[in-house]
Amino acid sequence: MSDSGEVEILLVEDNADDAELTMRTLNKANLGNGIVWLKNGALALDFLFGRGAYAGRSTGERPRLVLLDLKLPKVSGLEVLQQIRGDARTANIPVVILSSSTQDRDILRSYDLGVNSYVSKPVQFEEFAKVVTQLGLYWLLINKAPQAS
Amino acid sequence: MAEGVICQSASGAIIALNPAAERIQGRPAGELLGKTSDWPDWQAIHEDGTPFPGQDQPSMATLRTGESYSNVVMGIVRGDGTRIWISVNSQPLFASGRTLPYAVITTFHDISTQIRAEGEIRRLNVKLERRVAERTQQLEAAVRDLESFSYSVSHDLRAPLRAIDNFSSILQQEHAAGLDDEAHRLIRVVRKNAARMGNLIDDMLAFARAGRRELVLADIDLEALAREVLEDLAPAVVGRKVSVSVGSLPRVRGDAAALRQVLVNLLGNAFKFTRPRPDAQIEVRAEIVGNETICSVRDNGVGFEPQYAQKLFGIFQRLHDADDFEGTGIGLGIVKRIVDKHGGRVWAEGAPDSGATFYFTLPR
Repeated sequence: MSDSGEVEILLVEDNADDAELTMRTLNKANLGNGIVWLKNGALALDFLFGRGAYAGRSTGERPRLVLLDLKLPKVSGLEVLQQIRGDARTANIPVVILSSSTQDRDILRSYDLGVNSYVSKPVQFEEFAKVVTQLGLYWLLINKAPQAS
Repeated sequence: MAEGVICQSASGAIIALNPAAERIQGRPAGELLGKTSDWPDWQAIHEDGTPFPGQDQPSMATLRTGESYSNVVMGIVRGDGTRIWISVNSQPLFASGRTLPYAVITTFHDISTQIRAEGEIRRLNVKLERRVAERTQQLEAAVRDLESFSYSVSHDLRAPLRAIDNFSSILQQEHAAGLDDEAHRLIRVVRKNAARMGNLIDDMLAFARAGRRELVLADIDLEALAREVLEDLAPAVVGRKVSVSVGSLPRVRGDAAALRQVLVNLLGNAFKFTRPRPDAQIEVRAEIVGNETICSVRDNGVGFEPQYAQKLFGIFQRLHDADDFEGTGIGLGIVKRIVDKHGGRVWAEGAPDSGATFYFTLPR
């Protein structure tokens, strides 16, 4: 987390290796301050809505980007996305699906539920690093998101 | 005489019959004489089981119209209560100068065995068709299961592969100082194989997708499609001398995206396997023969041994060393799968060092 405690990126990823690679890549691009990594969809929802394990956390402190895997234990990525979009407090947080799946129906379903971007995780190191770096740069530095009210 | 004969008067009443009629009906003449076609004890029915009213039966119809009828199938109940099937012919008897008959002769014989056999065949056919439908459904479900299995396995395989490739790269880059040359070489071997497995997985997915996608058939300009594909592939042959000739290709019926894939794979192969040639030549041709369009892609590349011609279309079948020509051996497998789905055929001709021609057909 950054000094101010502001959460820049909420990474929801059950595979520890993938999470490590993503965070490593973002760190290398100097985008790694303020990453919170959660291992399942239920925790992600607790975090965003300040309940359960994160009871008392202010929902006003919204991450600037949610990186969401699809295949997650407990609550799937699509369900997380649906709940984020369904609640006024979180509805306009940029959400990017970062998934191994290139199945058409996963992509379609994600867009139907209002995802901002769908990115498939490359297998190869150079490709993976490039994709994750571009993602971070675009959503944190180039994109203008609405301010939390 | 095997044929039963009954004579009815203009009113429809039976006035005479022969012994065969008594035997077939299992009723004595005394019981039948005087009865009309409406006699309820016959319980006359059509072949489909619906009632066969007296007025519609051949004898009464003949009396009414003067026409004769033949081979009318009718079910009746015999004297012992069993149902039999008879084939009935009716013939009018005319008095001179009259337009309507004064009597009708009906002849009939027992066809119960035949009708029951036909019924049995029909019943068995229905049963067979139902069984075929069930099996087809089961097979389709099994194929779907298998394909979604291979699909999800392929996806699940990517995650560990990503870890292998990425962490060995990190080792290579961030711990370079601690590794000697041999260690660096070993990491390169690991990464090369991870990349190869990645390609295999991608190709398996492409193959599964080629099978799963429903075709959207449309009228396709094959020539325009071939030129588009050649343009897309052009960057792959930059710096090489390759002459491509596209004949005048007919319009075909097919799925545009799928046929594009077929051309990409065939032309991609032609470019690849002509790489050792200083003057590569590739020809795309098509002609209409009978009720199909035969398309071909010919090259003057390294060719192949004819005895392996059919193997070429198998999945992950390769006839060349990976060091000479890259690839996983899925391209022609996908071509075959797509052409099969279109109801066409694929084959190949070639000889070592004297080029190859790949053919596919599309029904017109």
